[in-house]
This record gives sequence, C-alpha cells and structure tokens, in this order.
Amino acid sequence: MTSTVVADVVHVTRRFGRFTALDDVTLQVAEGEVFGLLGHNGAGKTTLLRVLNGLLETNGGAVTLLGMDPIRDGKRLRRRTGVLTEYPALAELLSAHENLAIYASIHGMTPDDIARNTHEILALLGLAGREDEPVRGFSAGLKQRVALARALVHKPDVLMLDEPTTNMDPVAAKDVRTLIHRIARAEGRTVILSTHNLAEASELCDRVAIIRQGQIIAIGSPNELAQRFAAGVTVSIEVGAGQADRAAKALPSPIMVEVINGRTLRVANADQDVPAIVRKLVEAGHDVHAVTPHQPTLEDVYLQLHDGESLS
Amino acid sequence: MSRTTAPDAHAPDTDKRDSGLNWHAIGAIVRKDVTTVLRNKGVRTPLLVAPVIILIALPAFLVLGGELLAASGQVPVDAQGQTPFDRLAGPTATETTGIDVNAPGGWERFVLEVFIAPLYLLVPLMVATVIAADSFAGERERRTLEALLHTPTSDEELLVAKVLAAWLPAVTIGVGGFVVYSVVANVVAWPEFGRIFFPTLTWVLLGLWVTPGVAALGLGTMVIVSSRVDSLQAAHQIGSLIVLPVILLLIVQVSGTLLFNPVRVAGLGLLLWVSALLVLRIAAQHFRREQLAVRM
Repeated sequence: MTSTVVADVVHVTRRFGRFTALDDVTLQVAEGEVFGLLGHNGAGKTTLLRVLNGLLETNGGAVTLLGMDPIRDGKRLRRRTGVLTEYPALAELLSAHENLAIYASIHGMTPDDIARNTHEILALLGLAGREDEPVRGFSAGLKQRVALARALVHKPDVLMLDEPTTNMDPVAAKDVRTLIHRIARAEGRTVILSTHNLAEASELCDRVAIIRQGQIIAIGSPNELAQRFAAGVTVSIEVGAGQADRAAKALPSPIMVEVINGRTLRVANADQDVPAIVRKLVEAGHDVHAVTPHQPTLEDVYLQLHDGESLS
Repeated sequence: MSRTTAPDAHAPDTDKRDSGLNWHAIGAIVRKDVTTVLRNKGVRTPLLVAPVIILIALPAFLVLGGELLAASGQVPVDAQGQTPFDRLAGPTATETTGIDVNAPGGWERFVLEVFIAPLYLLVPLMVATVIAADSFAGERERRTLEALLHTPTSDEELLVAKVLAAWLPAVTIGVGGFVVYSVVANVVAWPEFGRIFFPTLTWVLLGLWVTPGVAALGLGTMVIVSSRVDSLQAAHQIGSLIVLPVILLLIVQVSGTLLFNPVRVAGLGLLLWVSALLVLRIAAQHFRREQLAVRM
C-alpha cells in the first residue's frame, strides 16, 4: 500500500548558539497518520514543530510539509496547518468565541463560516454556553480546550499538538484524546503530537519517534518498538503470604526475579518459561495463587531507552 | 511509505492573498489588540487619566485657579489685581514669547497656546509607547505571541498589524484630545476673550500633523526596545525615557529659546515623520519570525 507523505524531514539539524536542539533528524509522516514525538522536556519536540511550521529555519537538512518549504512557502503552508502551542496563548480578556473568531478571520474565513465553525467546535469541546465568557475566568483545562478549538477552527489538513492534554483533568483529557482520534480517523487529518504522556501516545499514535537530546533514537509503531526494544514478557507471580523471599531463592539463577512484596515476585523475560517456573515453585512447596503476564509497553521502551532519566 | 508529497489543493485560491499585504488578517490582529487594550483596566486607565490631567485639569487650573482661589480668599491679590498665578510667567515670558502676560488675556494665551503645547505631545507619545510595550514585550511575556506566529501571516503583516494596533489608538486619543482641548481652552478663556480664539494654526498643525508623527516615532522606538528586552517592565522602564525629548521641548518652549510657530511646528512634524520612518525601518529588521521564535 502506498501512502502520501505529508511531512518529510531529512537530516535536519537546528542549533541555538552552541546548543544543538535537533541533531540529524530524519522522519516521514503519512497522510492521516497520528504521529507522536516522545521525549523529555527540552528534547527538541517543540523545536521540530516550529521548524515544520516555518517559525524556525534549519542549520542543515531539508523539510517539506504538505509539499511546501516551510520557510519559503510559510504563509501558504500555515493556512493549512493548525497548531496547539505548549501554552494556551489566548487573549485572556476576550471571550472563547472572540478568540476563535479572530484567528478564523486571520485564516480568511467568511463571517458565516466563522459563526458556524466556532459554534460547532466549541460545542464539540464541551464549551457550549460559555462561548461569550472571557477566557480569563476559565480553568487551565478549559483554556487548553479553547486553544485546541482555535487550532481546529479553520479545519486544517495537518494538526500539530504540543502537549495537548497538559493541565487537563482526566475527563477533559479523555475527551480531547477522543476528539484527536476522531479528527484523525473520521476526518482523515494528519496529526503530529508532541507529548511526554506515554499512555496518551500509546492510545493515540500510529507511530512514534522517541527523541533524546535532539536525536531520534527510535521510531515505529508502539507495538513494534515494544517488540524491538523492551525486555520480553514480564510475569507477576503471587505466592503465599510471606513466601516471596524463599520462593525467589527456589528459582534457578538464570531466571531474573525481583521480590516486589511479601507475596509477589516479578520475573523478567518469562515468555517461554512460565510453566517451568510455576512447576519449580510448586515443587519447592510454595502455593501459587496467581500468575499475571505483562506485555511490554511504550513506557517500558521509553524508560529503557532513557535509562531511568527523569522526565523533567 | 512512498515519497510522494501531498498536493497543494488550496494553492489556486490563495495565490492572491499571498502576494502583497493581507489587510483582512492585519485588521483581525488590530481588532484583537485594540479590544484587549480597551478591556484591560490597568492599561486603559492611565491612557485616559493622563490626557484628562494634561488637557483638561491642568489648563483649567492654571487659567481659572488664580481667580477662583482669590475669590475664595485663599491666595492674596496685589494692588494691580494680580494673583501669584499671574506672576508665574513673569517678565521673561513676556520677552521670550512675545505674549504680554500682564495684558488682558495674556496669561490665558501664554498658558493655553504656549505652555501646554509640549505637554500635549506627551499624550500620543505615552499612548503609543504603553500600547506598543504591551503589544510586543507584553505579548511575549504572556506567551501569547507564538499563537500569532503560527498564523498564515508574513512578518511584514504581523509588524504592520502590531504597529497599527498601537498607532491608531494613539492618534485617535491624540486628535480627540486636541478637539477636547480646543473646547476646554475656549471655555476657560471665555470670560477673558468672549469669543472662540482656539485652535490657532500652530495648534492645528500640532494636532493633525505632529501627533501622528510623534506616535509613530514612539512606537517604532518601542518595537526596537521590546525586541531587546525580556519583560514588559523593562520595556516600560526603557520606554519611559522617550518622554525626555518632550520635556526638553517644554523647557526650550517656555524659556523662549525655540518658540512654536506654524513654520517651526510644520518643520518639527516633518523631522518627526522622517525619524519615525527611519526608526520603523530599523524596527522591521528586528521583527523577524525566526528571531521572535528563538526568544520564546
């Protein structure tokens, strides 16, 4: 199956003085794909979004988005992109409707389209009835929703979201994730999502690129990455109360076992060995109450690739 | 994944908007900034208080204050019927301004035509610098600038919009202040003259020719200042130095070193406009998306 490349980033480098924010970055994003940029704060995710939308030039390499050069064709390109910035960046003294209407107007929409689109998108994001209130009085989560609505109001072909669910409560965050999913799936829009919320990336993204110090260290679907980078299946084994230490000693040395608490063991790389492990525990006189396998997740991959570095 | 790129389906209807300035987008940004200023009490209040003090309270006090206080017995009246207010200018003012402040109506003419003139220039200058600082440095400090940078506007359109958003209110308040001041001047001097004597040609030139120029120069300076500082407070502090030349103008005007007359005011206006255009040209070189994005 062939797919159209919407974003094509080839060996891109961007430096700020002596600091290299993007270091030889290469990636492609297909039309209709939800593509995640995963990394710590300062890894280069926001810089890449700014490069893609023509705010920052590169020091090397080539970038095209929607077939256009972001610097040379920036104005034309930005008419087809919508960006949710890391901070809501709203005019606080203006109402939600006014914030959207101003940006829709900048995008060249007609007054009728502005009225219809702002009403629709605000209702979709649960802001109906609060359209005319100044956003200054909104909670951080509501402001984020207005900012998301602003990014969507002109129905962009490519949506770039920089930490879209930051500051949102779990329900609002779930709503936004549902909306992003709908935009990408039902409406066929391309979404480039920057986040360090690994569960969010797993839920939403078709593919992710893990960025560390400006370099892409892994790229692929969450499942592919889990297969490629994470340790195999981990198994939690529940034994009788207070038996965990003795049970761990009953297992032969090649088996990597960790005592979690008095009655729980965690065995790494246990894909093929679960029946043998359980048999050895039973033979050693331990009661086995439960065996729970854990498939590797994107979080496991991420943590392994970052070697336990703090997200901040 | 193939290496084909997405077709630019919007291209045909956007070519026109991409050549030349997109005044529709500029108008939207101006509306946003002006509405924000009008709704911001902290910005709006000083913008209205200063003109009221300079153009209404001060001339009324200087012209009517002496008589009112004398009538109430609060200040002494000498043998010639003069109050201390009448002696403020003294004989030097008479020599330098050509207005005999001791003659009937002389004090009123000195205050309303000469003394207030440089102070009046503070009004558009203050409005332009306050709004420009808020619009450039303030927007960056509030982290709201990035959303604008992601819009389909060119650097030139963003600059024009930001400049107009400060210039239009400054000129509106400046010209509006001139009209209000004209009414105030005629009202407070009516007991002395009994006729409409204001505005003079000098003041018409000040109100309609110098005001837009001084506002443009002030905001052009603030664009440069704002591009080099990191906070709104720093922009305000450096921007406040812009009033110093006007204070100098007040001193040379009142001391009679360089009196305003129609020719000199027309020349002053020309000088301000040329300076403003040069400063705005330099400001345009500092107002680049790339540079703004780097500082975010």
